[in-house]
Amino acid sequence: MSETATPASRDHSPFFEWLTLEGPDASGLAPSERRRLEEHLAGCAVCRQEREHLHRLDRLIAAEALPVRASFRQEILNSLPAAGWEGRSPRAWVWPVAAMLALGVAAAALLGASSTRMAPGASFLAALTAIGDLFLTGLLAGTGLLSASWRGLGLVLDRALTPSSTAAFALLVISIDVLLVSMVLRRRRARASATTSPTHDP
Amino acid sequence: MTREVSQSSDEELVDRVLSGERACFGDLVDRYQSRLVNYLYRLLRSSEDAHELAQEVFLKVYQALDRFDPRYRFSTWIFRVAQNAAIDLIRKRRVQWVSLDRREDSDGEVRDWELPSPERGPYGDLRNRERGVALQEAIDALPWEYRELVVLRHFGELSYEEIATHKSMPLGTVKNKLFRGRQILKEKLAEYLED
Repeated sequence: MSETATPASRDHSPFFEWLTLEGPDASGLAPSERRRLEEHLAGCAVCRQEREHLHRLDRLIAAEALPVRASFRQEILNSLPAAGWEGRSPRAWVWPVAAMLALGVAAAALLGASSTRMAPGASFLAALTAIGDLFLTGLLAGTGLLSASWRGLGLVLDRALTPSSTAAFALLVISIDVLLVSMVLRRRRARASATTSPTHDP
Repeated sequence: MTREVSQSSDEELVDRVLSGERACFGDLVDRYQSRLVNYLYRLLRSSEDAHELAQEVFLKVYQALDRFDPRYRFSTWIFRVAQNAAIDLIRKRRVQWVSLDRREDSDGEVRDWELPSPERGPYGDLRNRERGVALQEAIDALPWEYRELVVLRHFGELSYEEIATHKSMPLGTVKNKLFRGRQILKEKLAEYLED
């Protein structure tokens, strides 16, 4: 390209492209390209005008930007919903676990203090035994309740169900199982497709 | 803290929100609020709708934050959500312009969607209305393939690479379309660009 040629005969297109795509300041160009552009601009009124027009277009677009209302950010932060993932965050478990530990320590201290009064010297062992007994009792009670409720349910079903209604009940249970399995599979497929797409939509 | 946040990438901020620093989501809002509102404003023509929908987009993104794949850019994800939300809203309101893809008529000819008139509200009174309307009309007059990219670039402020990812287009195609779109815009607005 000759800088001495008449403006009409010059090929401005590469410079127009640079100015249009990299901005009127050509900030995105490599140093060598920017130097070449500046050299061309120094001798080309057409490209200088193009640069000026692009500057003005940018200013016009910027001037027409819609201002965001001042309360926008706060409105969002105030209305953030409880997201499902929050419960799975490790931080969400910090307070419950801390509270459980504190209660356990308090219980151990109380039991230890009372056992000290009863049998000085064996307080620690007594406290541990008492806590162990507490858990064991809770476990046995839970198991007993569960067993009793299942047994009770079994008795009720035994009396209430005829062979035909038993078959109907079995079919109902199987269909619920099938439904649950299909839901789990569908959820897995949806999750897999969401993670493989770069532009997945929540 | 503020300094740390300002230097953090979007993806790092997402990570911090997920690990319990809820306040970091405010920083993501700061980064994207103007871009999203302006992008949606150019699609919906209403500042009220643009603000409301942008808020919905942020809340939607927050709820689904654990599904964000950090291998990809947060910006392309949030603009994808915004684009889909805008399409849904337009469809719900039965506005004639119902898709961000060009439509084809019965003859198979590609036509642009017709858009509602630009909003004439308090914002318009504050600005040079004539110039604002001229800009909107110039954008509306662009063929859809250019218009969509021009709005993403100049109002959504996405980089060429982000637009290429967002639209699943080669980078060269994005640049070519944006070059042509911007040239057309410049011609349509010539009277406002002269001395």
